Amino acid sequence: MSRYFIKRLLQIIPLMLIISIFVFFFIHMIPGDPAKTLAGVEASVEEVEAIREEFGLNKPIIVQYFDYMKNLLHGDMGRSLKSNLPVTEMIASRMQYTLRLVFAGILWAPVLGIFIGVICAIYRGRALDHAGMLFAITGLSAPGFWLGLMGIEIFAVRLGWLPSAGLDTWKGYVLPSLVMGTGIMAVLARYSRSSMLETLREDYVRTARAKGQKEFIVMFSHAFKNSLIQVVTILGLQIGGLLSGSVITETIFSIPGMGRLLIDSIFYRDYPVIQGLLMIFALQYVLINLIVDMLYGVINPKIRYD
Amino acid sequence: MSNTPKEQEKSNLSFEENYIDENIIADKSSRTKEFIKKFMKRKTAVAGLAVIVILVIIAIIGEYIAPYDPAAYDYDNMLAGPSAAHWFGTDHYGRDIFSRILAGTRLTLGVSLSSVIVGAALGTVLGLLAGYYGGVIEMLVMRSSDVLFSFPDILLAIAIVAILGPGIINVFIAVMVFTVPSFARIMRSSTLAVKSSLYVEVAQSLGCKDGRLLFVHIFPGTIQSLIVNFTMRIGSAIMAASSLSFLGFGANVTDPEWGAMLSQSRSYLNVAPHMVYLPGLVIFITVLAFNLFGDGLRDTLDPKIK
Amino acid sequence: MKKITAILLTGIMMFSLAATANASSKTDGKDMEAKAPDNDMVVALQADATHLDPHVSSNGYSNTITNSMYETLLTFNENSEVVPLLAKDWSVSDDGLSYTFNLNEGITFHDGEAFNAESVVAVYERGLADESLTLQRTISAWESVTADDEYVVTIKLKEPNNTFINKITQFRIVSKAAMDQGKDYLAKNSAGTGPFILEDRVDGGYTKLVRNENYWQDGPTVDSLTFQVVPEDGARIAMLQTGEADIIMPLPAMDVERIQDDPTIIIDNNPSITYRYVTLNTEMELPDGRKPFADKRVRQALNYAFDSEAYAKVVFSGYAVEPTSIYSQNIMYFSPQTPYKPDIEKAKSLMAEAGFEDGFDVSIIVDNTSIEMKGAEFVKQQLAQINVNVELLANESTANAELTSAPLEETTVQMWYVNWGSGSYEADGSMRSILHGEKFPPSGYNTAFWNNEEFNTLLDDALKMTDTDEIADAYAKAQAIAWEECPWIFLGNDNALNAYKSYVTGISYKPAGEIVFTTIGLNL
Repeated sequence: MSRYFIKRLLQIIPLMLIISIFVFFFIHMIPGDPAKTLAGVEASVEEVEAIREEFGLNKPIIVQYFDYMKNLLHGDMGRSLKSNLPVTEMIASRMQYTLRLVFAGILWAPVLGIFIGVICAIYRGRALDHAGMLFAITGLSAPGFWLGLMGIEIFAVRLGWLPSAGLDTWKGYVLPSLVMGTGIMAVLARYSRSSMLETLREDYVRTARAKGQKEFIVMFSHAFKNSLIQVVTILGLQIGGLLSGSVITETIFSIPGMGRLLIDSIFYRDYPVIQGLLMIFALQYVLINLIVDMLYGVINPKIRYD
Repeated sequence: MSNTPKEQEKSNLSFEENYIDENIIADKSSRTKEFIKKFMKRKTAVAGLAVIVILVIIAIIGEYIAPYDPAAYDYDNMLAGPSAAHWFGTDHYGRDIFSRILAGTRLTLGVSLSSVIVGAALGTVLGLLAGYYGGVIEMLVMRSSDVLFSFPDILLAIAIVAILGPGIINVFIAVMVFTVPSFARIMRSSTLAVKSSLYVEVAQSLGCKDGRLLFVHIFPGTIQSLIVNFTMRIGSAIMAASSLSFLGFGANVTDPEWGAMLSQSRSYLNVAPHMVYLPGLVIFITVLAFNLFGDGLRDTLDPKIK
Repeated sequence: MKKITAILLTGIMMFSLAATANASSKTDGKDMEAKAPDNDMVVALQADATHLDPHVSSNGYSNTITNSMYETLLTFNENSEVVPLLAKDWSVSDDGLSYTFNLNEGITFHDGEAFNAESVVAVYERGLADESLTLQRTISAWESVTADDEYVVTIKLKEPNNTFINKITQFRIVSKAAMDQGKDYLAKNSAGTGPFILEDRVDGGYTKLVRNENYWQDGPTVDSLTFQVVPEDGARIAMLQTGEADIIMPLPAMDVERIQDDPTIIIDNNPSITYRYVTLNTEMELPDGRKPFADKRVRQALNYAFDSEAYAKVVFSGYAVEPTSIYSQNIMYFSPQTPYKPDIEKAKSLMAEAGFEDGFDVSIIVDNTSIEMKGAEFVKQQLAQINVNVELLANESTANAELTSAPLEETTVQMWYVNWGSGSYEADGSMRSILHGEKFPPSGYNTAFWNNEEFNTLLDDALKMTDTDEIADAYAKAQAIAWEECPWIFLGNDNALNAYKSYVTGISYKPAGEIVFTTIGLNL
């Protein structure tokens, strides 16, 4: 187990290296001239050239890559072409907003999702089950940007109950967390239902039933407890998906998180920031996947790693 | 957003183990009849299928049955709400939104369907080869999948479109690219399972050629998991493509692509909310239809989880 | 030396005539008794500043924010008059080469340093040392800057230049000690003399400024001024309606109707300096080798086919001005021309005369934002009337910047839907980079590749003139030539629309409706 863990951890290094090469070279293929955009329309040719020099944009791309990697090893992701701030600092200041959103999403969605899933499993095949699953698949199919815009139109513009932008007060979290969480809620409802049903078929649950234990206790102390394990791992995977959800949520609700930073940086051809963000996104996702895999092994010893 | 590749992979793995063997033995025509009978019992799935059929018809004849020219400007009638003359109202050019949705069906569905078809085909072939041959091919395919899997799907698509530039073709490529690894992984594991089954071993020992073995014997054994994953991917492809358009990375804003229509409508949220509600509703219904259909297929093919 | 006032006054008269005709905010029927909930002002901006160092290249929103922290020797008031700010007064030598400024005394920077003549020299030296700074645009025409006395500074020009005074209004004075610490320091700290001090900033989120308690003249009464980035139009308006924001910039034209009856909201409507046009590449070749835009008749036909009144109505809900010259009426030395009245028959006959009665196919480059696309779509629809079949090529502005900076031999630009405005309200800056024959890309944005010797000479000569009548005369001739030759389709001049709560007090303006926050307050 621990040998496998170390092996997996070590595998991240070449993976991230490959990702860095992909990211770096692909990003420099993006059409558009950052120096020109930075300098603005009224700038002279000399001004543009000076900016290009300042950021090393005139060097061969291979040299630029090695410069970048060298600095990266020292924890330096370079400086934003746009704001001249260190990329690490920019990402750090944006990350809190994205994390807040992710948190706002996972605060309610898994609870509701698992609840629906369990209820559906208990009432399998009956009206409540169908209604619950229809609700879940509806949540899965509703585009986040559409929900967000409708939320703003109804609750902010028309009714004036909630703010339409920002995360300044608790009210500001309501609509974004709705957009962030709907998908997770739906996925978890579906998974917890099926994993509940699977566990209900297991021998120990049958035994418990046969022993005449109350149905309620069978459900919650045996079936639910065990299916929760599987559900938690799915939840972990969904957090990665939340990162992409945050791009849309941040755009709609004018929240200065990492997702909007990515969009803005693509717009400005702010290479160092795009690079840094994609690397961080990838690292987060890879680590989450690793943790989930590990967790899976810890709680389900039947799975062997080799 | 929510249909992450991981989710589907896990779900498919569960039924492959059960199916593959009986699939091989069963008589084809009676199986098909039984399948249809089972499927027809699922009302929501049938409803989903019905919507899909209607959408496909609209995709073919949409522009001919549109009450107005979808590109015709009517500057005296801009941003008008729904009325008898304009069922879905008009947009900021005075164009009839209903006609644009009809005319845009082909584009919207076309991009998603074709990207999933091509992505699935590529992924299937790569997965088959990786699973069958193992070794270097497997390593290459699986490691590349790892790299692609290191990014949440919309982020990956954004990155690709940022490099290639906005436009419908590039959306197609982006969605295709993130479709490939999920199919590659599923096919690889399906292939591994089928490969070790008795009848393939028999065929192999009888001196069957690799190509024949792969496509005549192994591929049919994996086709069910393929179909289910395929249907489920379409919903997320539509969602991803329209999200890209919504963020301004997708279809040309003059095209009646649904996501692009919605993206344009954001500026008019206060004055013409129908521009947000209606195209979004159409995207939602379409994704829902594919998801319901996919669910129905999976449940029909997989009696274990019911 | 004689006092500059005489020279300037004539100049001021010239263009303040146009400026004072501007409509401003209407306050009748508004609830002027409304009270603000707190003494913190929030301004919702569409986009964020790119950099807060006032000398680093940046966008318009950067200026909106930095102008509250940094000041210049002279500035423009809302009547387009140049007025003193950090300088008490100024004079110019007879040869038009030396400008001497008497500075206000007792002013300190935010970092506690004293403002004096050496501060001005220090900014000049910063510009000399770093070519990437926007200071280049100003100081490239300067010979030297000398501190004659603690509060007297003289700027000597290489040759006379009529744009000097305009450009000096963009020359922001920063504490020397802060400049020595570099761009990083200035990205996070303010070190100007302005009414607000930078307190906190989240890039892409907000920039919070607090009142400068040591401000040297009458200043703001609000405790703080926060610029919040709200890219979504709908959200910005909702914020104003709910009072989350006190001012929003800009207000989309489409939404004016929706909020104009709200008694707590006042709408500012001023013709801006943003002039919109479509460049016609005069060297463009059709597949059959003909060059349609090389023929003046074709270019004029396009202008006759274009209905700028309908353009203003459709694209800007009427909040735009029809073009009457090649730049905005708010810019100095504006000289009105006879409009191209829409006349399809005339356009068709001009096309026929030029041998293009069957029209031709052409592509137009446009930024892929909603409002730009809408404008370009309108152009497409208008030109279809004379069989000119326009294909839209929509790209992000960054990608367009690359396409449009390709030199003549490599360019793919046939038409470009674009706009231009000179931030210092100068005539030369409004024409040179985009129309002068030496400003073909990549050194400029003359993507019409229009090279008119007479026009070039007029601009070059005018730049060195000192007599305002002569300058006005030269620029009037230049405008007449470009108008007649029309290397562009002239589209119009959209209005700057801002909206604010009726409890906002003390708003003042620069020309073209640009809000100045110096004396901003809230009615509590």
